[in-house]
Amino acid sequence: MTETMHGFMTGPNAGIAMLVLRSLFFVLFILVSIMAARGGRARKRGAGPASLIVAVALAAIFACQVSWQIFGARNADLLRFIRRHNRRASVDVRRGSILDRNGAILAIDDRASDAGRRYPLGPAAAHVVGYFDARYGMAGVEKAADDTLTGVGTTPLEDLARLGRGLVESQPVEGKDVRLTIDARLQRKCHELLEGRRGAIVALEPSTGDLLALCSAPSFDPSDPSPRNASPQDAPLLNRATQGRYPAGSTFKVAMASLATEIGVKPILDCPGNGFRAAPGAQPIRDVEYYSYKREGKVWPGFGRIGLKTALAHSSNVYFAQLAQRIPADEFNRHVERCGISERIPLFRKEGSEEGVALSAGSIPHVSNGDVKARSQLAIGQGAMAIAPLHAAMWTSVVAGGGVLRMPHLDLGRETEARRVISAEAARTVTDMMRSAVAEGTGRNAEVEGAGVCGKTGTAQTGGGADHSWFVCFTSSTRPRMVVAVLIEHGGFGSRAALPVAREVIKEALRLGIIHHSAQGGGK
Amino acid sequence: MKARRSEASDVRGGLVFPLAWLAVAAAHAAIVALRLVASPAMPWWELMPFWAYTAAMAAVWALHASGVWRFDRQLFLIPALLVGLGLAMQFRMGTLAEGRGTGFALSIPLGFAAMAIVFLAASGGRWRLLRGVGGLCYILAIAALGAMLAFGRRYRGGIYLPGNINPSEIIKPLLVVFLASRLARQGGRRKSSGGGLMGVLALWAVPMLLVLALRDLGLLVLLGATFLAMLYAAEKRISHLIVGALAVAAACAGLCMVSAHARVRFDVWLHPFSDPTGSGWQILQSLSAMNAGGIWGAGIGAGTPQSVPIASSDFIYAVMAEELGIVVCALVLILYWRFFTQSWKMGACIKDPFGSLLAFGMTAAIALQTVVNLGGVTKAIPLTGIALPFLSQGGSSLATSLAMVGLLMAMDDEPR
Repeated sequence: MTETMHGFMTGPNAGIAMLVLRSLFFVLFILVSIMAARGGRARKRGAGPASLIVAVALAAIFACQVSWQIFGARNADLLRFIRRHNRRASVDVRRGSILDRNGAILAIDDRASDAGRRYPLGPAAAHVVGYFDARYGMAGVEKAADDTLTGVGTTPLEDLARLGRGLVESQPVEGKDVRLTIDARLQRKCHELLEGRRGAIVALEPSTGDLLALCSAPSFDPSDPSPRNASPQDAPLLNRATQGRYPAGSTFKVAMASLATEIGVKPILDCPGNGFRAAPGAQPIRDVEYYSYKREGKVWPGFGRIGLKTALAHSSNVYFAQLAQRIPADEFNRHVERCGISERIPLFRKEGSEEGVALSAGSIPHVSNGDVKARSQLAIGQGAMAIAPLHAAMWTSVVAGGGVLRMPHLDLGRETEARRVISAEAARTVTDMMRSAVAEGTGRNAEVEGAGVCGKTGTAQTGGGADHSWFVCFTSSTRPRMVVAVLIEHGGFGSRAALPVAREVIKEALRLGIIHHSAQGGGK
Repeated sequence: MKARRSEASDVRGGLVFPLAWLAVAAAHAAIVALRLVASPAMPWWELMPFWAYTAAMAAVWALHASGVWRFDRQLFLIPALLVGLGLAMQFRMGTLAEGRGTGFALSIPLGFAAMAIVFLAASGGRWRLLRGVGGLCYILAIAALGAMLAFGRRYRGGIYLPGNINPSEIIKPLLVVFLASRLARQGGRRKSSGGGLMGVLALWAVPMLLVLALRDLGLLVLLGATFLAMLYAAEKRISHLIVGALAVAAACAGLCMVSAHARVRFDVWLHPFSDPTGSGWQILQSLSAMNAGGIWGAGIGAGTPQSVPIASSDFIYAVMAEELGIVVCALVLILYWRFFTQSWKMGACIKDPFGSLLAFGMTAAIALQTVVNLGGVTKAIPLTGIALPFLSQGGSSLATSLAMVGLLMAMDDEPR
């Protein structure tokens, strides 16, 4: 029977049948409403003031409804909203696509799907691209680039109000596409590398500030960004690469070495095995080896008298704790600021406003010269320090960029601020140090054939649980084309969890041709 | 003599029952037709709630027309018509198709069953027995609130017990029964000694504080306003009304201070366009839906109300505004008002102060919930996340509302 009815309901029959049924409903409902409202038993007593109060309240509600339903077209704000965010058939808005640096699709309109939007990379790029969802609104670049994507960013409000609802209904709106600096292939690889872990990967081009990959795990499905089934620790909506806050661990020694080299404080220091005490009776800062020797029943003799290069290569906490005392506090404070840690950095700017996707300021407290303990703690990336993986990538980018920090960003083609933080010469020296960390120090396993990787491990102590595992690096030493920062939450030693991931990212970038084997000038 | 005439007109006007059913059936038919245009596959079991509705309407009509059940037909007919309209909108929204609507599907037969049971149990003056169980109702309400506090999960600003049961619905009638019996006793002693009033206030403070702890703005406003209305109905003192209104306003302001959720709702109400894609999204989609509806609406099934978040529960009125237009909306508002007025008149005719207060309070609770929901959806007042009586998807809301209607129908003890 349904088949027959379906057959009947094709063509003009359907329109006539719908018209008849809808009209029937209207006539009947109006009739019945009047009958129901008029009928009812006559009463001896009135309903009292309550009836009047409710009548006034309902009348006010109705007046409010009329102001939107009938006169909504006179409200410029509402019109603007309808034109941009309304998927009703009467308003034909084709939302622009979001593309990666090579034109690969990251988000595209899909009327067939329930969500109305398709994300080919799915969870892999969810934090960057964001979502556009009827139920949950918008986030990420979808939100920041909304003006461009819907193509109304430039229409003045007054015009819209004057044109009125009729125009909104009849004119299709064509949105523009948005290009990101992301490389979809690398982004996908990063997502795969973080499978099953909590952490983040940042890959950026130091000369332009282009973010090639910005990945956070665990992630979510941008087609269904509902928060269900997520444990608080997983926090899948959190973009750990920019919004996560962690102690930097030894990766901060890169920033310390840059500063020390820049101001010419490169002493040879004695690094005894039993560590450095900020004050008599204070908990000493020791090298990691102290503990590994102790476990084996041996006594760590210390590094002895070493210089900055050896100290960085072998990540000597004792050296850096002492070095911090020789660096003037105001130089330290200024350097932290110059590295962009204490400012808000827009990654994707919303047109004509400061809103959008951004890296909010990390926190590294200002120190004073008398503050021995805080300075020694901060120098090894501990203490009252909370930064995002992208911050670590930025101070690494200072070295990779020949002393110039190019502010990171996601919008392809935007010229961001280039800030000289240290001299080119100092950057070359620190590059050397980071190179030797990979050649003979703690980062030994990071080397990729012919890539000339320069890197620094980090193992950050946390309030509880295993240490956070860090690795920052760039490649190559002579032609830095890509900076990579990896954080694995509670991954243990930097060399164990984060380093192999960074290595895989570099290998993939080489394979994809994003960076080239350094036949033209490789590492040493 | 006059009573006889009204009785006769009641029977003659019985034609309105099948006509009301026919209007609901026409809406369903339009949606079925629309479905058949798209595909020959039509899951007929989705129409089960409609058949349950049909059976209920037929049964009540037969019982009323034959004189077995005696009640003011307006008290039944208006809620029944609204429930039918809501049912059609839920069917149109595919609430049942997605398998998540089982609770709603059951609430039609269960709601009408609850209405019939309450009506039969309470008619013939048996509702007076409720006077003796005021204290029990009070304890049950406190227990329900306590359970929400202890085991509730927060979902979109509301609190639900495991299985998405929202016990806040049942709390309203329980507390109305308690207040009616308590305030009636108070009235008997005349003229309210301050001590008696303080006693009611102290007892009332307990559930209010629990609701504050739950941070449920909607329930807070609803219970506070119901209390005020009943207090005024009992004591007829303007001063109580003013002081009470200030207290409720202060409680709301306090809640806004401690709960970010409540504060956001207030901010969104004032400035919906400042964060259109975030916190303002829901109300703006609702207003867009209304704007798309215009005078006559887009037609049943022709709009896209699914773009309004949680359209089928709290925002069902916006769906109606879009698809049925402002004319039907106006009729719906008039129907609500006529129902409240008739019910209040009925209550005013009851000689017993307890009965009078009970009928007044039950009606006031439904009326306030209606006003708070509709006000929120049309942006007349901030959103509070409470359901629209008779029309919203919420199963517990529908069943409770219909049970309250059953009680009101039974309380009509005017001589006929």
